[in-house]
Formats: sequence, structure tokens, C-alpha cells
Amino acid sequence: MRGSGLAWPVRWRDLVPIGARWFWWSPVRYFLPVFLGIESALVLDRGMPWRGEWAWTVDWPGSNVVILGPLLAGLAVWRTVSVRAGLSDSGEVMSPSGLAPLAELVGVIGWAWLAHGIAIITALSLTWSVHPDGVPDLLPLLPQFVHLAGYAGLGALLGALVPQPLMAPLTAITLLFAVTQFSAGHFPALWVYVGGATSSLVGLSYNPQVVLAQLVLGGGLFLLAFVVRRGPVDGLRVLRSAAIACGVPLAVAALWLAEGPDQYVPVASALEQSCMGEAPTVCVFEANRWAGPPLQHVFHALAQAARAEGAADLPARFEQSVPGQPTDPAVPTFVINSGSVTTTRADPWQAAHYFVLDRRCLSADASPPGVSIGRLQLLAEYLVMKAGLADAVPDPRLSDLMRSSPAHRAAWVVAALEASRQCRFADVPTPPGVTP
Amino acid sequence: MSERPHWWSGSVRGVLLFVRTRRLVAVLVATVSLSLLLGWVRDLTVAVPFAPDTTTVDLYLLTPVFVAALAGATLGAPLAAWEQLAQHRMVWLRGLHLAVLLVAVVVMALPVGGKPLGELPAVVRNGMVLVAVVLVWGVLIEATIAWLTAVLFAALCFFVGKGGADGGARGWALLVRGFDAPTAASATVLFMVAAAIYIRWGPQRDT
Repeated sequence: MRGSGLAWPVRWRDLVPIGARWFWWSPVRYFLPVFLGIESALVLDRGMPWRGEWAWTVDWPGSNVVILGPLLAGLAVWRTVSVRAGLSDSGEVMSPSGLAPLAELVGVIGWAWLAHGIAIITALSLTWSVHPDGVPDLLPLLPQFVHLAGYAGLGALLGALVPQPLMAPLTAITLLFAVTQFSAGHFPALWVYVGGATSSLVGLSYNPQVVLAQLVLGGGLFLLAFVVRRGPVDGLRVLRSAAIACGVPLAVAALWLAEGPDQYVPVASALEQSCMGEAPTVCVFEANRWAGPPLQHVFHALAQAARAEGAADLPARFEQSVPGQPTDPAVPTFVINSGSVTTTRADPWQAAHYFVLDRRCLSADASPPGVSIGRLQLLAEYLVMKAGLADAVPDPRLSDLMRSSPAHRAAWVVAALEASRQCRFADVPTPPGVTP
Repeated sequence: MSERPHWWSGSVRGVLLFVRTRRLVAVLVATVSLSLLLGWVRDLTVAVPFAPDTTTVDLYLLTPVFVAALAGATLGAPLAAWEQLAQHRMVWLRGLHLAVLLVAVVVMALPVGGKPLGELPAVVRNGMVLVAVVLVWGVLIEATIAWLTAVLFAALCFFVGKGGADGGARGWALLVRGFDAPTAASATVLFMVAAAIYIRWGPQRDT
């Protein structure tokens, strides 16, 4: 590799052009199309529900790290082993100053960062094209890039300790297999998951302590590649001290993350509600103010459809709540899931779910029986259809219901809504015309 | 009195040298060990879609990927030149050996791990596909990085290929499709034939 041989001391200002050469001439540059292909496949594979929400857009490519990272670690091993073999053949000696791993890591990390950055910019552009409210908070990107560097550092470390060609695929395979086990819950997921969904619409955000621990974990793995050496080296005492300085916080962070702390915490903006509209009034978190009008439109249409059937005692107000957090027991609540609302449209099915099923009644002691859930689901479908919010769903029960007389349907709507409001789920009557 | 090494010292070194200079033997030893290990450690498994109750990522993806990576390692191994002098073997022949080896390994591993033999063809199919991918890549581009294609393909099949319309595997995700899927079987055969032709008559590099 050109420009990797350095003699200490190196002036810091020289590091920039040297680093640029390390980056540009790294053989890893040939893998940019591979990185971009992986990023594109993973970003677009699950659709684009994140469009319209800045926080979710920023988070979404973060889930690529768990797949790109192990491959990066394998590539770092490959480069480390290849360069060591090449250097030993030519008799050239790398500087013992600690810059040898940097020469390879600059290329490995740089090209991976570039691909990840392109994926993020593409995702942000797609969201920007639908004119979302506010500006993106780019801070959650930091753990993503640090973890990519951590994977590469781990690879360089393993490549230096076990300089065998087979170490590269073994590292990548082992880490990828480990990721599949993380997803199955066999190992601490917080070791690897640095993105996915902030759930900002729900009123949650990343736990700063978890983010800090993840940064320590990724950063520690990256730095370990510079301070752990195999065989006799100059300045061994300094290196040992540095290894302890990196290893101890890394171990503490890993152990703490293994205990499974809450990845999300309620955001401060969830404490302030912004209310709008009437019949019913809909209140959302101040940060989600833009989501209020479409949600109020849907709730209003559902209420009108219910009133048309004769329901009179309907809630005058719905409030957004944070899952797991206490709410006002006098007001029915709802949760906004990511992807369920844009600036112009709210998902009628989710709103109808909260309209017919009072969340205040949901608890371990009073969870509704399955048959009642099914009846209330049918009620939601019926109200959405009557409100003209969506086309009829291909539910045979809905067809049976529509064949019954309007008077029977109206009586059923009123009785079912009343039973749900009073948490008497067992009293939700059988829909007319529908086989129990 | 001169100090003589223990009688077993030379034997151990001889075995190690034998293994190091005969990568296929190393492949056999390592793969059997891994398969047996994974067969025993059945709790560390994640289902892949074509048989959710019995099909797990360890045997159906991990073992074939590992074998393919080892196949790639034989291409770019430091002792490859020495091996060529000692015993001239063409790349496609090594691949054939590995494919046969995979069958033997899986047959041995399945009873130990309690896996059903009914899924055996899919495991063998996965091994053959990945070995073919690695061998072609190793000849086409760069031997020392040939393993990446197998790992990448397996990862994409596992993480992306399972998102088919009906909840099953996508068409291109050969590794997570059932062996009875005709398109997957056809693609596998075509891929193997293409690989064999290219490796046999294509430009030879680093063999």
C-alpha cells in the first residue's frame, strides 16, 4: 500500500495528506459498490415508511450497521494480514509508533463511512422531497459511524493478533452469526443495535446513557487496534497502560449494556401537549404538532360516523400518550406509531383502533378476551368505512354485517362503544348477521 | 547425553505439517468439528423461513458459508504454491472435493445434532452454491478476498431474502429457499455448470 511506511515522529499536519493517500489508495475502494449495494438493499428493502419523519429517516440506515459491520471487520482482518505478509516479504518495517493499523483502518473505515454517508444523504433527500416539518437531528448518526469504526478496529486487532488469511472470513462469519443470535435474544442486543427507530413520534428517544455506553464500546474497540500488539514492541509499558485505559471502560460499557437497560426514554417534549379541533379535541406532543390536524380529521370523521349510528356519549378529547407512562385517567389516549401519520394524512386504521378500544381499560387484569377484540376490530372497520376514510376491507364479517338491517347495526355500534368505554369487554355484543 | 524429543513430539509436528500442507484435510477436520459443535449447541439457532420449526441458521447457512470460506482459503493460502509443486490439483477439482466433503460432513453432523435428514439436500445445495461462488470469484478477481462473496450472499439471503410477498423467501435468495423450489434447484445447477466451465476453460489465476 502506498504511503503506509512512516517514521516517527510524524508532524500532525502531515497526517492529513498522508491519511488522504491511505484512504484513496486503499484496495477497499473497490468495495464501494459492494457497500453501496448493501446499504441500498437494506434501506429500501423494507419500503420507505420513514419518509416524512426526520428522526426516523436518520435512524433507518443505522440498522445497516449490524450487517455492514461484520463484513467490515472481515475486510480489516484481510487488509491487516495482507499488509503484514507483504511487509515481511519486502523487509520493510512499519513504524512501531502505533500508526501501522491506522494506515489500513483509514481505508477500510473511510470507504465504509463514505458508503454509509451516501445512504444517509439519499434517505434524507427522499424525506426532504416530501417537505416534512422541522429539521433533522443528526446526532444519532454518531453511534452508527463510531460502531462501524469499532468493527473495523476489532478486525484490525484480530488480524494483528492472529495474522492468518483464514481469520478474515472467520471473523466476518462469526460476527454475522452473532448478529443473528442477537436478534433472537440470545445475546445483548444493545451491543450491536445502534439504529432502527427512535420512535420520536411515540414520544420516546434514545437513552443518553445507552448511547454513551455504545460510543465507548465502539470507540474502545477502535482504539484497541492501536494499543494491543503481538510480540516484542517498543514502548510496551505505554501500550499496556493505553490498553488498560481503553479496555476497562470498554468492558464496563459492555457489561452495563448486557444488563439490558432501557434503550428509549420519554423525550421532554412529550410533557407538553398541543391541542386542536373539536368533537373531539385531539392533543399531541408539542414536537408532533404537525401530526395533529390529520389525526384530528380522522378522529372527527370517526366520531361523526359513530354519532350517525346513534352513539351520543363519545369522548370530547383524545390525548397522545407515551407507552408505559402514566396518563390522565379521565381522558382516552392514543399512541402514534412511526409511519402512521404524515403532514397530510393519518392512518385511519390505527386511529380507529384507539377510537373503539379505550386504552385506559387495558391492563394485565382487565385485558379484553380475544373474541371481544375481534368484535371491536370489526367495529373499527365498519366506522372507517362509514366515515369514508378508506375502502371496504375484504373481511367476510363486514359483508355479513352490512347485510343486516341498519337499525340492528346502529344498536350494535352504540352498545359496543358503550361496553368498551366502560371496560366491560365481555359485554361487547355479537355483531348482527355475523356468526359468533 | 543428548536430549531427545519425546516420541510423540515428532508425531504431533508431523500431523500438523500434514494438515498444513493438505488444506482439504484441514477443511475436513475444521468442518466436522464445527458441524458437530453446532449440532450440539442447538439453542443458539435462528429459524430461516423454509422450515421454521426445524431449519436453523447454523446448519443451513453457517456450515455452507464456512466450507465456502475454507474453499476460498485454499485458493489464496500462503502454501498454495508449495501445494502446486507437491500435488498439482486444479481449482475445480478442489471445489468438487469440497462439495463431496460437505455432503459427508452434513451426513455425519445431522444425527448428532438431531436434525431431520429431510432438509439435507438444501444444506448440500447451499454448500455447492457458495463453493461455486467463491471459486469463480477467486479466479475472476482476487483469491484472498473470495470468501467475502459467500459471506455477503449468505447475509443478504438471511437478512433481506426472507422478505418475500407471502412471507417466504424471495426468488434470488437461493440459500433460504426449500430444496423443492424448482427455480432454486435450476439456478443452482446452472450456477455450478457455469462455474465449472469458467473455472476449467477460463483464465487461470492464482491456482
